[in-house]
Amino acid sequence: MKVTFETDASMERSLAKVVTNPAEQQRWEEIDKAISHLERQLVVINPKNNRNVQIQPSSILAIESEDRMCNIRVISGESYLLGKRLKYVEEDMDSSHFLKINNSTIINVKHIKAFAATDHARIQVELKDGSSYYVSRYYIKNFRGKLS
Amino acid sequence: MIGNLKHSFFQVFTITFLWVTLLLTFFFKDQTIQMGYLWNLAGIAFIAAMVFGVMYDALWNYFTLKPIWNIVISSTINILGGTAGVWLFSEEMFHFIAPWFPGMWLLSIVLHTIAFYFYARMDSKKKAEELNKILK
Repeated sequence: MKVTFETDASMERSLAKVVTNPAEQQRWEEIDKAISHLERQLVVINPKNNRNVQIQPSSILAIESEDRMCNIRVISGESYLLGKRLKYVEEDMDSSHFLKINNSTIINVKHIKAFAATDHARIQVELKDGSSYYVSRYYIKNFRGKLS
Repeated sequence: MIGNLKHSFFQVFTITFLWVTLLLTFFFKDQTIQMGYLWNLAGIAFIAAMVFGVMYDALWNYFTLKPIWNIVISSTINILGGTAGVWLFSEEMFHFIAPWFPGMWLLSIVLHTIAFYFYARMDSKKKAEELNKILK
């Protein structure tokens, strides 16, 4: 397949538009897979040996604030550290996949299993690995555009 | 969060200042006041802004505390802020309503329980259902 590139100043920064002939529509899924494989790697610290490790942002479940650093939980169950404050991580991450849900947590919307109202009048988001986090009311409105 | 809270602080501060000034103009128009009393007005506006502009906004929208803490924090600060506001407005009025303070405190707890527990529970249920629908 021949690929051409164009720029459009009116488009969002983290958005790429792929235009194909209608006959190529069945190949959209494989094109999407191929592009998502090329995503930027994130360099994090393995707390067990203090070594730098590269991880794929799509494998991240949640990013939690820890003083001046962040704790990153990935699908495999591992936890890593990122030497940045949460507000700067929020600016760097792809806003179409990562959403802030309270003052100290960002989650990957691709790994959301369900939402639940708890006994204590709070809203919880359950992730695919079974973990759950409380969602602040202020951040709920952000979900509406991202999940649909 | 800080930007939004700052914005609502100044919004409530301005509205309260103008509202109290309007009430004073309306009910005490023949009375003269000392310049220092303007600081009492600023104090009342500051208390209202901290309580209604910052505290409620933070507890309801940003924090995820248990309802018991929301109720304790909001009812205590609300009643303390209210009494301090009355005292700044008029010491005479403060002493006049002082016997009612325990009743007001009780009413405050009841109303905050309704808001931060019963209403919040209903609201959480509704929002969780709404979000689950979007997920599907």
